Amino acid sequence: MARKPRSQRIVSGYLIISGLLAFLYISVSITIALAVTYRPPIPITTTPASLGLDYRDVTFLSREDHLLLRGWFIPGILPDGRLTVEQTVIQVHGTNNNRAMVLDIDASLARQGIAVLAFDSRGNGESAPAPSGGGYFEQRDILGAVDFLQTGPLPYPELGRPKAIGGWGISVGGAALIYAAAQEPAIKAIVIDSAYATMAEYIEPAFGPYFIFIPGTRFTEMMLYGVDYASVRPVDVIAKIAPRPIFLIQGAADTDILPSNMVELAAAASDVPGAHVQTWLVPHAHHIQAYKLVKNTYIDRLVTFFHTELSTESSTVSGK
Amino acid sequence: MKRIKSEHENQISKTTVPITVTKNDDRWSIRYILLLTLAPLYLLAIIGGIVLALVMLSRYLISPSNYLLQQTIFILIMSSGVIIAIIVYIISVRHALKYVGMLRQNGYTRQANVGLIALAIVASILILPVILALFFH
Repeated sequence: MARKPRSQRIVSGYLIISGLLAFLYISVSITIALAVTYRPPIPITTTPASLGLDYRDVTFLSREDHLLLRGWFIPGILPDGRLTVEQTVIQVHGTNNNRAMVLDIDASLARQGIAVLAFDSRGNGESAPAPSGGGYFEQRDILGAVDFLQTGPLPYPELGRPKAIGGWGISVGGAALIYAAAQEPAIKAIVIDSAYATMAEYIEPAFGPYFIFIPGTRFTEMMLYGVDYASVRPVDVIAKIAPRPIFLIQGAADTDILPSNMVELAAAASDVPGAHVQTWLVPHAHHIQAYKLVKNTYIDRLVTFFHTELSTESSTVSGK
Repeated sequence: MKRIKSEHENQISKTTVPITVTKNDDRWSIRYILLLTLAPLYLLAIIGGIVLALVMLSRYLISPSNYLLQQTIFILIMSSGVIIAIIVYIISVRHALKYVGMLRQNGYTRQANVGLIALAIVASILILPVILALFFH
């Protein structure tokens, strides 16, 4: 058999190498896209009852895409023991977590008279399985929670409906809350702990040396789920929240979401007349660790912020 | 006698085939060579288009509340798409290379070179997104 000419051997090798690399790239990109958008939910192993709190299991639907979400409704407890829902805070957990993530802080808020609606975001805990949008899809869950508080079948009907709704979002939950508050004026005040300014700043460093797969993963996610993470930019919408107050918290030693994210968010939020923005850079705190590192101060500041910003006429009845 | 006839036939084929083929047979035309050697590229594009259409269709038909079913279908579409694409690529490249070799053996060096250039373009276009991903991510 005649030996192939050199040029043909070079082209053959080129075709093999380019084919191998291209298919490897496509396969890895698809695998990453499928893996990052959905992880098995972490089971819930505790309830507010374990902390001596009165609560009810609740279910409601996300706004727009109507996914079934599950959560706890924990009424606030006044100093005289009566229950109240006058000031209610929607607690939004971070990615790959569940409503029990900060249950001890929820309990502290409830004991200070602030009711808490803690729910599992889509694809987490006991809520419907769904792809994570890094906060983009999750904004619909928060809007569904607002609808539930305003018009849904609330437990404790004798307590009436919340007079003022606030939000407290952690990490990706914070990004989702920024999006939700920017379009829902019923959310009167928000606390954002360790949220990213742009999703790219959050996701891209996570790829590390595999950064080459970023465009492939991005394209696959756009194709499969209709979300382009590069266009998820809470920093672009946060100004719409003004004049409603925003309290931004960030760990100074956070390496997942760098403190510069809080600076960017604060600058964008303050860039409109009537903006009301507070920031708190917690020294030595890593990602979403501020509430563990300075727990009492954290609770005090949260309670003070919500009591001040959500204050309305009292509407309480006797509790159990 | 037999041997002489055979040599005579070979001589005829060497002298007449190039002329008659280029004039009458489409298989040696540049257009046909390009169609064959660029086949890996457009076949992959067709497969990619079908995969994209199927994904869009399943996104449209399956409600987001039925996410696990949607995810399973996505995985099936994507994995079978990649496997089919790999098989189609291997077959079409092998076929094109064989054809280029045949052209060269028959003395159609110009056509063979055009075929090789087209195949090199195929390889370059295939690797281009990976190279671009290195610089623009």
